[in-house]
Amino acid sequence: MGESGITKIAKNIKKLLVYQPERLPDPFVLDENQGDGKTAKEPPVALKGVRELESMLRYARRLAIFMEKTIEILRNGQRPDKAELLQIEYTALEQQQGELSAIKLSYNSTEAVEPAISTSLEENQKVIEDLYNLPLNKDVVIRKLTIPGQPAVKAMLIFMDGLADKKVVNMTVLNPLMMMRNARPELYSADLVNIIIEQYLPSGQASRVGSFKEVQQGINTGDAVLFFDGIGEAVTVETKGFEHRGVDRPATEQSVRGAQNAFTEVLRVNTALIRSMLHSSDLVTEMIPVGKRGHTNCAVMYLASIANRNLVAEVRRRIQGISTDLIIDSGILEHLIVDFPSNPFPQTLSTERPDRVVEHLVEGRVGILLDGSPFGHIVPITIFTLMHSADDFSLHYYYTNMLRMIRWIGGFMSMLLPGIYLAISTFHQEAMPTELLLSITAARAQVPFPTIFEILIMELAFELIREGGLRIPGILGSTIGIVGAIILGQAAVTAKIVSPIMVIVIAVTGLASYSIPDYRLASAFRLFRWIFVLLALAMGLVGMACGFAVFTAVLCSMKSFGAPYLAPIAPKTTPGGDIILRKASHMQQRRPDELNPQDDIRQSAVSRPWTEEPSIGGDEL
Amino acid sequence: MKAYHVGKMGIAEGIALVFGLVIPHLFLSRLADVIQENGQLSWLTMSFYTVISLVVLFMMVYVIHSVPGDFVTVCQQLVGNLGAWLIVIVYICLFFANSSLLLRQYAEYTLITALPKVNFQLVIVWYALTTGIMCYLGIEALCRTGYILLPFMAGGLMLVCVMVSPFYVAYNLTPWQGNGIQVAVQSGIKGVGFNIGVLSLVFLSSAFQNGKTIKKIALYALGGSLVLRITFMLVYTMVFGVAIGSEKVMPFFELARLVYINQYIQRIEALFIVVWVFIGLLAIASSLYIGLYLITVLLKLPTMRPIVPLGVMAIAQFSMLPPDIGYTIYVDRLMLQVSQVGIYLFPGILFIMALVKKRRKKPCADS
Repeated sequence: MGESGITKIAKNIKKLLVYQPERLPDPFVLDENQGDGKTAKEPPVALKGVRELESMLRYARRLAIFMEKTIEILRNGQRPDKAELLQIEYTALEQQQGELSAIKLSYNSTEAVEPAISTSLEENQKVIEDLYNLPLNKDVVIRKLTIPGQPAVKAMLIFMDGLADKKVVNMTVLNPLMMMRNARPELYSADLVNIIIEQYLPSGQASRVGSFKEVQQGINTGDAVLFFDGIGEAVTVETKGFEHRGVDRPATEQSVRGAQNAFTEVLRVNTALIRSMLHSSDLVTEMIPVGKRGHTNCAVMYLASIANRNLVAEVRRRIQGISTDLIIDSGILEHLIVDFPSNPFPQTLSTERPDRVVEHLVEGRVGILLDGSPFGHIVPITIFTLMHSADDFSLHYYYTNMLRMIRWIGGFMSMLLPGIYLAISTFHQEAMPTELLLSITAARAQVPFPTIFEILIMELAFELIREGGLRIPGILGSTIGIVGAIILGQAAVTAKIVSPIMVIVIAVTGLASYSIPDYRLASAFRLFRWIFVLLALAMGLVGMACGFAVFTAVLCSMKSFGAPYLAPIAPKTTPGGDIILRKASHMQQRRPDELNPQDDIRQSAVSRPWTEEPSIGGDEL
Repeated sequence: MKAYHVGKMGIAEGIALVFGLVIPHLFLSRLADVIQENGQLSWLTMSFYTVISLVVLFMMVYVIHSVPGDFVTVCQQLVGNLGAWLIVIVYICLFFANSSLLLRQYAEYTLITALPKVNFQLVIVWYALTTGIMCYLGIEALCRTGYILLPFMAGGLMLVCVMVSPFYVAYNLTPWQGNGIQVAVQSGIKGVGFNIGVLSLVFLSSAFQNGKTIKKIALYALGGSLVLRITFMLVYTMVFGVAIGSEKVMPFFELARLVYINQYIQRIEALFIVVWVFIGLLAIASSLYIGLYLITVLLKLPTMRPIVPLGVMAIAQFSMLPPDIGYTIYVDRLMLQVSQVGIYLFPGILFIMALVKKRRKKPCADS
């Protein structure tokens, strides 16, 4: 019965007059997982073992179908080739039964058992679907195909859309396998996987794999994986074809005369860049996958006849011993493998230049490259290595040495200058020449703040400009940085917030910090600058001297992959000719002693034997 | 490997260790005492210090190579358990006392020369903390730091000597006999405690390759320090003369104060504070480390690091015991005399016992 008009009006009036709370959707609260992370990831008890149970059911179903088929063939008395087919299917079922024992074990046990590649395509598909959350996940492509043969082989191709090049997949996998109608080989009669790899896959890299771990590694890195019915193995085919940046000029390690190419984000491109510079069969590239949740390939490169074997083993041990979810950057990798991760001083040489990696590999060091990172690591290193720049190798050594001295002076200035100024101006004014002291005093007379406050303000402003300049896009960043610094400095002096001498001190310190070739070393010096300022504030030059002594002791106690950080100066070892200063290339006979390479000698004492030979040009002029 | 394992050190580290232990008194009042006692012939006294301490070290090297094991084991084998405890405890006291007295004197001179308005306890705590951190980092780091800073320290010293050249008065070196050769020789024999730090090579012998290395280190370190001391002493005598020179309690600082190159380079003594702070820190830290190391070995502790803070607190407290700098200098002089036990008596006993033991040892064929 419909409502009467009066009732409707009464209802509407009531709705209008009586307050009704606003209807809001239930708020979403991101609660913590119940219990610890481990249990949260496990399936509920009721579902435990469902996958194994399903596998067994599928086997039972397949067995039932097979039996029905057999009965039918026997009743009808069909051709002998059908019997051959039955034989193949029977073998596959036998193998699957063998696999069931592991599944049963997994079903009965409380711990998860790593699934093995099954002889059943259906089983393998199920595992892949579980691993990649299919059909929710749209990136993974499963392509089923039948390879013509005697009998035909059912197969399944899996690859990651976007990572694998579809053209390559078509050309090197699908085409050759599906277009062999004329041949119709007896694939099951021999080693099927071997025949497929050797005769039918025209890919540069195709290999057989026996576990889902390897299958996942292949799929996740852009390879295509082929499964065959009745075969408990798979084949990975290289079909990588994801988009990536091309080889470009170095962004942070520019060189005037050196090589002009830099690493990219693709590991194989990077290893190839190194190989293209170091044509040696002695160069070894080991691939170590790291990360539990996402496997990232890490390449360890060394010259087998030069690098210390213990060093290589230690690098391998440390990388293999990493237990973390994912490593996406070489900086994270560094923290996971160095001896003193909490020390701000870099313990690896991080470079984007293949030529620098090559230079160090030849000295007996080990290179570490990570997939996805355009920076490689070189280990072990000393603090002196960090003060070398890419151009050092291509310029005349006199000029190189002059530049290196400037860098060292710059390094010390960037760390100590504000502290020294603070110490002298606060505690040891007598050390300043009288005229200079009077000029500083006059400049500071109208500044109402103590020197330490001036330093802190200016340092903070400088760091702000530096950080802001980095974030502002394009060339605008550097322009704003320069203009900002000038305007800010001028305005601060005019406003009598800081004295002109302080602007000079901070500007010189900032410039000096840019003279350090390694960005991380420069950052460490910048950090220590604050400490030295505080030490100078507390105890003047005495505080700075104490701080410097401790600073030196800390550096002396550090090691980078077993090599002392201040070698060959402390401890004193045989120098290789390239420490603070660099000898001419023909005079660098030995490799760095602290690396303990297998072969100490880099070149013979007479590396220019032509100087001892008679000149072709005849007698002297 | 035990946590107090001294690592592997070379000649450079050894030189830095000995140099750091024997040179700091150059900056303190002991130098003025020597000049007062021996006049212009102070260099001969210094030479005696060096020669005698070298002989003592060579004797001790013979001792530690005649019996295998660390220093405590060697003493136990030669003079028994009680004797070993006595000897090691005396050495511990000597090195701790040296550390405390150096800490006090350097703190006092810091107050006088660089930071007159700073609280005395703060300076003591500051130095103690710094030396504690250096000790905590281990002897390798300590010696290598010394080795790196050594050229700057020696260079600073020499620079001052060169820069005060306008004040040289060669006549101040006459009469060359000073207060007499006999006095110089006697003083040289009595004051060898000056160089007791050289025995640290014996205590840390396992860190060095062999006895030859230790002897080489001693030779280089004591020889180098002798050259430095004699040079400094001659310059000091030439500048101030014996009468005035023997009254000054801070010889290096007084010398640095005289530097006047021109109106822009004058009163730069403050800059040289850095030099003597480095030397002081290394000396205090080295003495403290040796003392703590001997305690660790004596008590057979598994590690040394946990007792470093205790050692630091102990030397800081001891250094604050003397009421003033005058009394500290007095105790320092006293300790110089007591050091003779460590430089003559114990090495002598151990050497004789080692000789006796060697003679008693019969060849295997006879036994």
